[in-house]
Amino acid sequence: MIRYIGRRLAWSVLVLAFVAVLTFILIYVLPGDPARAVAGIHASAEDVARIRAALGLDEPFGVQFARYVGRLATGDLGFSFHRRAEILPLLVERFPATLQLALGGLVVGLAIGLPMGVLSAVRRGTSVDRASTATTAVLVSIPSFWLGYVILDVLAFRPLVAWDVAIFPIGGYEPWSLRHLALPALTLGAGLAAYYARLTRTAMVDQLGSDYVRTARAKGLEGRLVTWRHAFRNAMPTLVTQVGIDIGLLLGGVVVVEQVFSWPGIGRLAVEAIVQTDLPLILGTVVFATLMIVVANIVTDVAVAVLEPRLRRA
Amino acid sequence: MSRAHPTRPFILALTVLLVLAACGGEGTASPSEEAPGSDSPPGSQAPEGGGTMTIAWEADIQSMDPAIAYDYVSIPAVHMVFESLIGYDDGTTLVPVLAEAMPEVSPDGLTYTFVLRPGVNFVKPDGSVLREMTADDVVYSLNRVLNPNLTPTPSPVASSFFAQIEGGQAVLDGEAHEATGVVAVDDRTVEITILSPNRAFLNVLAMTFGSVVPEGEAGTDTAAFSAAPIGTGPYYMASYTAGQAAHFVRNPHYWGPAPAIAEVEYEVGVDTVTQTQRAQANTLDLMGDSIPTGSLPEVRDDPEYAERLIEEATVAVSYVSIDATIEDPPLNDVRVRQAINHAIDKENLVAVVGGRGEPANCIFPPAISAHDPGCQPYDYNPERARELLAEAGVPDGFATTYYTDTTEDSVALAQAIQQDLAAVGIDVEIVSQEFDVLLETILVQGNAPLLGIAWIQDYPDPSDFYDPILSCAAVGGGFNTSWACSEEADAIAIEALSMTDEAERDEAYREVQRLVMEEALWVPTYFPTVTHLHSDRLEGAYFHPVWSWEIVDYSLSE
Repeated sequence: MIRYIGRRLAWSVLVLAFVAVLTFILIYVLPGDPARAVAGIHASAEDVARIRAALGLDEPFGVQFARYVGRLATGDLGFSFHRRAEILPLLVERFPATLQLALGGLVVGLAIGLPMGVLSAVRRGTSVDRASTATTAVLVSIPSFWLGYVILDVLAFRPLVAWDVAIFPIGGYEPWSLRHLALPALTLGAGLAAYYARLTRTAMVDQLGSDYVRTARAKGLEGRLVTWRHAFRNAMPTLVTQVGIDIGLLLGGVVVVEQVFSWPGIGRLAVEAIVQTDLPLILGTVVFATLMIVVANIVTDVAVAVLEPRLRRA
Repeated sequence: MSRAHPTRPFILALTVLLVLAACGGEGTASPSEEAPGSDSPPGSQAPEGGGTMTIAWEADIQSMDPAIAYDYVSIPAVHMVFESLIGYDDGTTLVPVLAEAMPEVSPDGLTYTFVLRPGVNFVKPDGSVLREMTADDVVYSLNRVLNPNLTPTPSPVASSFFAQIEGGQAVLDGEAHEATGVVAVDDRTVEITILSPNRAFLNVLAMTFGSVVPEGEAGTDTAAFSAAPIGTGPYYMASYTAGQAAHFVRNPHYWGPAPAIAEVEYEVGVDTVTQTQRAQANTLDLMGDSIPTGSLPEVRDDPEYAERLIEEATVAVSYVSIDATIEDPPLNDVRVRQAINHAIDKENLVAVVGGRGEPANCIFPPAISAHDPGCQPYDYNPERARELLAEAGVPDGFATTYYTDTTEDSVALAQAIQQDLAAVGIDVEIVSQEFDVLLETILVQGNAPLLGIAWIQDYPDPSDFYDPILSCAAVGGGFNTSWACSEEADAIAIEALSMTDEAERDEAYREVQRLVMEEALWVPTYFPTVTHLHSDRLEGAYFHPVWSWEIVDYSLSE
């Protein structure tokens, strides 16, 4: 097991390094003058040149690249051009918001998606299954920025304006406030729920059709016991793998939902960095998101290995 | 029975939601609930009460350091904490602030002598007094803006505005630490000498870049000073969480009349649709950003909001600049440029941006003293446009390219202009680029035959709408994107810089404007307005032409 984890860690470092290097090169070849972006339209050419030099942007690609890699190796993500602040603290400061949103979204997604998927599989072909499948098809297709605005409007804005009832705040964030978290988590969770429902259904249909389930039924085991203790247990690795990947993705920043709900997470930071051509900050958010995915993948692999002993020897 | 099952997940979801809501308690997000003045230090001389006002912005504060900050979110915040020698009244008239009176100007128009107001204190982020301001602080502050060693970057406007101080260039070039033109005559007197007479220099000093910061506290590290700013203003910044909010508290040691509002919660990262809804629901006192185009009709057409709507012209002009050096198509022919002016329907352009503006007759916006309602050189007249094109030898029109940025309004304007020009035979291809990419494109001559862009004031003086963007000196070195200029206009504009008689000076700039328009280097399209919503309880709120928001003038009703 330890060797397995060690091997995964080594790979992860390689992946991180590759992403960091690739992003740097991509950003470097993109059009646009970051010094001008910092200085603004009113700055003279002379002031822009001075700012370019101060940011080290006048140096050749090789020098800039070497300095970036050197700093990265020591865990230093550099300085944001626009915010004039260290990047790592910026990310650390934003992380709790993204973490809460990711967890909230997952809880909603799993709470709705799992039962729906299992029910669909157990009652395959019935109207329950068809209704569930139709619902997930709709939910999967709804863009979250639209759903977010509708949810905000119906559950937060209208009640407040029409009846002066503040059920939920109109966007915004407070640490660990469930009232603030509810609507963005619901928006994020709706899409995830639909996805998990489909995934669960497929995995459960597979399991329910397998020989061991038939044997269990033949032994006279109660239907619910077969569904949950046998079939669902064996469908778990598929789900855990997917949820693990999703956690990594979500922790890297939930761009659209954070934007709609004015949620001060990593996703918003990334958007602002891109809008402002804040190169070090773009790099920082990408490297951070990659790190989250890589870490989540390792944790998932270990978890699946625990659930699925055959994989440990692989 | 089977029909009931599909609803189960939704009942579950609803339950989860209700539980979440219940856990969150019963309070509303209303800002009024915070105890007013709770952060005020003991021994405060400021009046009791006043409440906490909330203002929200989509973007973040980039810096609280006045030497660096130059974006529309940072400036109103910097303005709450810092003050310059002079500033503005509720309009564009200059008034003394940290100076006791307007400066004495030497007969040659080069030396300005300021006498400082006594008893002005620098206040720290904990609300305590650092010390009294002296003339040395003023000298230090102006040299600091010129300091090329500020980290992480030097000031973006050092050379544009402050190099005109005698000896300023030497500081910029790292050859001197102090400009010879800024001298503390005694503890309360400062003399500033500039290289050539410039009436607008007072406007430069009134910018937030001219703010007085404490020597010894504001060093070269602008990030550090931004995190813990120390100024003389009516508020101090008690805390700031990047991406969330800055918290400003009334300065109990302020030299001037205490502002009515005790505390200001300056929220950042708030989506503009959310800002609008929160203002509608009275859980936000003031929208920092304009109401987004999509939400505008709903708010503007509802009589309920009429009293709370702020609709005000900005000191800005949106325009199409024409590269007058291009020979093919013949944009170098003044008749072609005049034809383009006649071909564009400005009333329609204003409609395209949701009515947020008024058609621009000429260059200077209404808030600029040299604005001239009588300047009407080109009416909307496609027939005349076709005649002019025929006279210029291109009766069938030509093909050309129009550059603009990627914002919704800019693209919509581009498309409307494309249609107008197509009607007179000019076939326009639109290229929209991210703003910083666009800046790089258009600063090369010949790249952008037509360019749709806007100029927002640095300060409300006609020179700021000519020198950086239309003067001969701005061709190449500045932002003159027509790459051409009227030498006759230039001569008058240079003379106008040193004129002391306001009426005479305005008349000179009107002549400059007339000459530039005759050359048709631009199509001024519209003067943008902003539309904001405020809460029921916010009183006296207005849009300030320079600071956007002058919070010291507002109050909250109980």
